[in-house]
Amino acid sequence: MSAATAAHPAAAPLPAARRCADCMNFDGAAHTLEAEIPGFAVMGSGYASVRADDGLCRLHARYLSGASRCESFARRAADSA
Amino acid sequence: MTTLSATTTRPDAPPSFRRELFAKEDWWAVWIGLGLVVVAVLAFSGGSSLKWIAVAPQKWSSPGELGAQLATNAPRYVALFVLWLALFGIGVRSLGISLRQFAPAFVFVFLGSLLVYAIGVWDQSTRYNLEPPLVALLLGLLIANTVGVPAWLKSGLRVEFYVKTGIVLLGAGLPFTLILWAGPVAIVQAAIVSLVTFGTIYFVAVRLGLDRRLAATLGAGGAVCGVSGAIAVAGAVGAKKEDAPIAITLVILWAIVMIFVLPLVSKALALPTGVAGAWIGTSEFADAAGFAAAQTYGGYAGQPGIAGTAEASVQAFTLMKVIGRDVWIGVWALVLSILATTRWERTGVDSRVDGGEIWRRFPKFVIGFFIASAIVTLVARGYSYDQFKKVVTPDLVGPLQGLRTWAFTFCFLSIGLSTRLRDLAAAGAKPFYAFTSGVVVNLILGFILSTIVFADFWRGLGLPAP
Repeated sequence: MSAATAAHPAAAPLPAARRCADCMNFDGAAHTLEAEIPGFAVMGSGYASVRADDGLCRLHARYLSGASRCESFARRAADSA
Repeated sequence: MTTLSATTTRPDAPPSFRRELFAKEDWWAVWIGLGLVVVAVLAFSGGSSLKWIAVAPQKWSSPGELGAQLATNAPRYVALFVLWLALFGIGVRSLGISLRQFAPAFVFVFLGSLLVYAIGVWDQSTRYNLEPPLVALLLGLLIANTVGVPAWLKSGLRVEFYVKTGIVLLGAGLPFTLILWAGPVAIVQAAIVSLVTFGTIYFVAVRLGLDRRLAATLGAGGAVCGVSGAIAVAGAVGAKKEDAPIAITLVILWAIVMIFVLPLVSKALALPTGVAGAWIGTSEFADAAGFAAAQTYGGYAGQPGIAGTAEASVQAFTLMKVIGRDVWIGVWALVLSILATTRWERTGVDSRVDGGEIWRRFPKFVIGFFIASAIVTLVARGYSYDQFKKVVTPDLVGPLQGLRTWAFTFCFLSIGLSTRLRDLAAAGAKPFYAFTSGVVVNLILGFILSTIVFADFWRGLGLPAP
């Protein structure tokens, strides 16, 4: 089963400190999103409030909220220092 | 290696509110728009006005006449350019965009907008249907899809930044009492259409075998607020990386088609400007595209058979799109996020969110729109309707409307210049069918509600205060 489809126990929330926004696999930089998502900047914006802190998860190949969590969390080097 | 934005580098906590005030484009639109409104009010109170700097080309019939006009007002245009460059420059710099790249690009955007503006006031423009939004869009599309847009120009094409700033300024021309009067109707009409359109797209997409997260992303793009709606819901439900680009492609293509179709059909049916604006607000997919369509139709005001003021078209659109649809994106995101985590197939990621999602995704520029409206309404409360038209409109509201038109023109030109069709993601047949089914339902339902059910209401927009 791939990481993208692996089930997780929905009834047991993962630690709040392990937000995707702090994971090394997550990229929520506005300019990166505008560059990588075709058409994003045409009638939308990476810098908009509606985007909140969403970003791309390189591990699961998903676009998701920075507040998301998963069991593959790996803290970004700069944060864990 | 890419660097991460300030909003995502803090460990263990979401970005603070104070930090967001200077890290999001919406807030910068508020600061710029409200800053201009406050300066305009202070000038008005002191017996002065922003008229000098809110310069715009006037009607002309020969190139020589236009040239003389531009030469006479050259210092004013330079001052206007410097003002916009300073305001937007501070904003984009705070967002992390290079000012060195933005400044030369903005020179091009400003000069292109001046050209579009000038074409729009040519005395033969009506004869050739050269409405400024359409000219800006077509000119931009032509350049982007033929010779292409150089990389250095792209940082100046901030479509959303320009349109949000324009919307805040637009608030200054919309009495708060009118918002309170018309807002509930707009919300009811928009809610009906949004729910039915989302349901149609989602149902058809799922029936066609598409993933529920893609179905929801497509639905939000068609029913709520275009690209912003699609991207917000994609994030809230944890969609696949390729889902948002599919929805964005469909939103952009249909939005551009509707910029031309909605005003032309409305004109053929001789709809009053307020009614057409409401229909455009119900059936367009993105704010920027909708303003292009609504402003185009406003330009038809006064032509044979077209009742209502030019402003009524834009006002009805704003009430419907911004208040009726845009502000609810956080609620959509929250509800769909809950559904995704509790009812839909698991993805390996826990995307549960809390009620704070509604505020986090709230399009904050709308706050500026409301405040701008409240400020000007307060200033104008001591004036009779006639005095308002004679004094407040030319010296306070008029210059702000002029600045708003500039901001919208930057936006319209930027849409065309940044829409390179071959760069958009391939959408595929099934998403196209699902999205298009929603477009058809949306158009018909929006038309019935705007022109029959609530027709009297929208027709009355722009008339003296009810």
